[in-house]
Formats: sequence, structure tokens, C-alpha cells
Amino acid sequence: MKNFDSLVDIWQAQNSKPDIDYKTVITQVNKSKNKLILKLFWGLIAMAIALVTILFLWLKTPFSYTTTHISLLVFVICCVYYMVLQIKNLTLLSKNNLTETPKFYIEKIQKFKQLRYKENTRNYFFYTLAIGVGFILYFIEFFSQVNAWVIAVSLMFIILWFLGSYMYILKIYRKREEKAINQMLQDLERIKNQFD
Amino acid sequence: MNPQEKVFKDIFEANSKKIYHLCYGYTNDEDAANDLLQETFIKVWQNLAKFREQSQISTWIYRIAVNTCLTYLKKEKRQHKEELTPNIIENKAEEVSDKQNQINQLYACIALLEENERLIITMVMDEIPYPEIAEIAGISDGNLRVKIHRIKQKLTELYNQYEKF
Repeated sequence: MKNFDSLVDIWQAQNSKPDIDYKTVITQVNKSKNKLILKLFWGLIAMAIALVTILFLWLKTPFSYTTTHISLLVFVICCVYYMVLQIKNLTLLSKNNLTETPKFYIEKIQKFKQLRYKENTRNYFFYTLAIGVGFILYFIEFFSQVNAWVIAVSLMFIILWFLGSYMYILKIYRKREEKAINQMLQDLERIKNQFD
Repeated sequence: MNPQEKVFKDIFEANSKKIYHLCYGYTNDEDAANDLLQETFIKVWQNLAKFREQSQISTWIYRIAVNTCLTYLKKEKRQHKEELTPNIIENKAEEVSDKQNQINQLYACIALLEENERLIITMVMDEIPYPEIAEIAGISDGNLRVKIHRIKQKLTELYNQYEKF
């Protein structure tokens, strides 16, 4: 039978040492930029390019149908909405201060995870719906100048894109993420409560 | 070596061993402990300019390490904790010395504790002063003492229970 002091003696006799040195850490600093931050950043850049392209098209092309103008406005709103979300996420991530108390830090992580989940599910549905409506409105002017075959193919593409986004990608994503996020939030809650 | 690297080298050499123990105690896995140690010190390097000397540098580093360990959970593939069956202990004992076996067994027992208990007890065994542990964990001194008392009992019981095998 050992008492706690004997365990401390065992602990202090250990030779366990890290396999890395300070040089390895410095070398790794540049390589290990936060992947999520990079993903959000590149998403932001891609959307900014899309926004500029849409605005350029809108200003340079003499569209005559009101529906086309409305569709371009919908696209612009979608781009701006996406960019605002990315900026909001980047700001939230940069506010994650690792020197907060564990309880407070975990609370922030929980909020961030919940927000991301909401964005990637419910908000994504409305986002996809708006883009679908935007495409339909945009093609009204286009359809007035082409034959029935082109209209049929274009409509089929729009419907497939919409159904694919909603029925397939989002449903698979939801199913996969819901289980993981619930488990993660439960674990974080359990750990947070340990610091009461 | 530039001045920042020199400061970092001193900080790393003074704290890395204990932080490694904390990470090892938390994960009971050598590779994961090295990963967490590296992640902690990458954050230390990135945030060194923000350190305001309101607390000791070791407290500041421990806080970063604790938060890094706690959020490691999300990456962890929810491994089932290895149950300490007599067979496992016997097999491990053949491969390592008695002393190393005791250390391995102690780490395995720590792995059976709750997350905050693992972190607190490794700091206790590394003789971090109680007020510093309370500051790192963000809990009151009184609360910490109660927790430590309970964790010491729990760990000792676990160790003795498995030492019988």
C-alpha cells in the first residue's frame, strides 16, 4: 500500500522528457498557422473576387429586365452576407485568448462552435435558397433570347444544383456534424463544470 | 540568435519539462504530449509580446498549456480509456524496469481521473505552489484545496487498487 507521498516520489523520479527543443518550436511557428483562420481568410478572398466580378458585370452589361437587376442584387447581398460572416468568425477567433481562465475560455469555444454550426446548417439553407432564386431571376432575360432546349437544360441545371446543395450536401453534412458537435458541446460543458 | 529567440530558449528550458509532464498526464500518450507541448510553446512564442508580467511567466505558460490541453479534446478521437487489466500490467511490466513500470502505472491511473483532476494533480506532484495552481485553474484557493484533497485520495486508491494485480 502506498500513500500519496510515495506517488510523488515515483513521479519525481521519472526521466520523462519532451522529444522537442526550442528550435523545433520556432521552426514550426510559421508552418502551423491556424488552419481554420486560413480557410476563413481564403473564403473571404474568394468571395471578394466573386463580388467584384458581379459588380463589374452589372455595371458593364446593359441588362434590360428588372428581374436581372434584382437577381444581381440578390447575388451581391449573398456575397456581402458571406463576407460579413467570415469577418465575424475571424474576429471571434482572434478574441480567443488562451490566457483566460479555463472556464471562460471553454465558454468562448462553446459559443464559437454553436455559432459555426448554426451558420453551416440553418443559415446555409437560406443562403442556398437565395442563390437559387437569384439564378432563376437572372435567367429570365437570358431565356427570352434562347430556344426551348437551352431553357430546359438551364432550368434542369438550376434545379439539380439547388436539390444537390440542399438534399445531398447539406443533409450529409448535417448528419455528420450534428453527432460530432453535440458530443463536443457535451464534453466542453462537462469540462467547464469541473472548474466551478 | 536574436534577443527574442534567446528569451524564448530560456523560457522553454525552464518550463518545458513540467509542461510536458502536464501534457503527458493529461493524455497518457507520449506523441500527443509532445504535440501539445509544441502547440503550447508555439502559442507562447506568438503571444510573448503580450505577456504583461502581471503574473509569473510560468503561471502564464501553464494557463496556455491547460487551455490547449482542454481543447485538445475536440481533436481527440474519443479514445476509450485503457482499462488497467492484470494482463496489460503484466505485459508492460515485462518490457520495462520496475521503476519505469511504476511511472507508467501512475500515468495510467492519472488518465482515469477527470480532465481537471489530471491537470491539477500533475501540477501538485510537480510542486507548483497552491496559489499558482488556483490562479492557473481560475478557481478559489479554498475550492482548490478541497479538490486536491479529493484527487489525492482518488489517485492513491486507484494506484493501490491496481498495484495489487
